[in-house]
Amino acid sequence: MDWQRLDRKATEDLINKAGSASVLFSPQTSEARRASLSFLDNFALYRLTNYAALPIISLDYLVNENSTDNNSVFYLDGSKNSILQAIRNDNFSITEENIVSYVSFFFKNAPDPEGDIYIIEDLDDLVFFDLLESGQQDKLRNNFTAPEIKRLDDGRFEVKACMVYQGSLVTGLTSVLGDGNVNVSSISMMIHSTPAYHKVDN
Amino acid sequence: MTTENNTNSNSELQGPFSQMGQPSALDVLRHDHHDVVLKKARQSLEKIPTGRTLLTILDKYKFPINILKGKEITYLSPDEKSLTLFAPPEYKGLESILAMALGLGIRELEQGLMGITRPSQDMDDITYCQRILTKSVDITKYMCIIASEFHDTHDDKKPLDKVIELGHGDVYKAYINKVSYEEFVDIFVEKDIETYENNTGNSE
Repeated sequence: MDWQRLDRKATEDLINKAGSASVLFSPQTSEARRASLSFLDNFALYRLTNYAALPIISLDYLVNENSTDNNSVFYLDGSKNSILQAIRNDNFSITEENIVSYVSFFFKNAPDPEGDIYIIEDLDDLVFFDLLESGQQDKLRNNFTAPEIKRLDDGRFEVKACMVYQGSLVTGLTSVLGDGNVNVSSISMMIHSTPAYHKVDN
Repeated sequence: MTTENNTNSNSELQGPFSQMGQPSALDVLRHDHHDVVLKKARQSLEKIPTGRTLLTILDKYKFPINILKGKEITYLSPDEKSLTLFAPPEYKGLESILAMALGLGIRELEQGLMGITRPSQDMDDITYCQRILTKSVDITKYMCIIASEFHDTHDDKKPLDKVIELGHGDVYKAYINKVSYEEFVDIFVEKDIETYENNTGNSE
C-alpha cells in the first residue's frame, strides 16, 4: 500500500469525518495517511493512528473524496459490509492489473478468522519463506508458478495462483464478483501450516 | 459466567465515549455480539492462572468494558477507568486472542491502580519517556506470560503467534529464557524501534 502522510489540517478534517471515533484521536497526537485504490474512482483508503495511545491504535476508513453525504465515510470494521457498501456507492472496476491488489485489500480488511488469505505474486516476497523448513522451501520452489490471470466469458477475471489460504500454502482459483465479493475455489494444498512471523502493518 | 463488569454498558458506552453526546454515532462502532464476545474472552482468560488473577481485579473494581467492532483484536483504556476491546465480526476460534486483549487491558488498568498512570504533558521529557517505557515493557511482559500459559497449559499457540506477529518474538524468547529485567528491557527497546521504523518508514 502506497501511503501518503497528511498534514495537520487534513488530519483534523479526517478526525471530524470519523465522527464516532473522534474521541480516540486528536490532531496533536495522531497521524492520518491516505492511499489510493485503483479499483474505485471516488473512494480512497484513510488510516488514523494515535501514537499517544498505549497501545498505539489505528482505524481505517473508506472515504469518498468527492461527496459529503451519508454514504461518504465507511469505517472498516472487519466485516466485508463496509467494503461492499463503498463499492455500491462508487464505480468499481476490476482489471487484469488490479485484481490481485483488490483480493489482498479485501481479505486484509475483512479478515478470515481461520487465517490470512492472499495471492503470492513472487516467491521472493513471501515474508516467512526463510522460516520454512528446507524440505518445505524446496517443495514450494518446485511447485511455485506466477499468478495466471484469465478473462472469463462474463467479463470477470479469474486468478490461478499460489496463495496463503487460512494459514496454509495452496493453489487456488480466485475471482471477484460484480458486487465486490471474492470467491476462492479449486483449492489444492501445498503446505499445511505456515510459521508465525512479524507482520509489518501496511 | 456473568458480565457484571458491563452492567452499565448495555444501553450506552462508558468513559470518554459517553461524553460525546452522539449515542447514535457510537452505536455504529458497538459490536453486534457485545455481551457474547466479553463472555467468551472472560471464559478463555479464566483458563490460565494469570488470567484468573487479572479477573479478580476486574471483578473487584468493576471497570466498565465496551466491545467495539474492529478488524483486529486489540484493547484501549481511554481514561484508565474503563476498558475498550476491539473485536472483528467473526471471532470464532479467536477466544484466546480475545482473552489476551482483555487480560492486557486489565493489566493496563491495574498499572493505574499502582500509580503507573499514563504520562501527562506536564511531565518533563525524560519522565514522560520513562513512564511510556515502564508501561510498555510491563504490558509486553504480561503478553509473554499470557501467551506462555496458553501454550503450556492448553497447547494453544494462537496468543504466541500473535506475540510474534506483533514483533515481540525475541522478547518472548528472552522471557522464556528468564533473562534479567535490564536485558529484557534492552531487547524490548531494540525491537520496538525496529517495529516503529518498519511501520512508519521513519528511521533516525
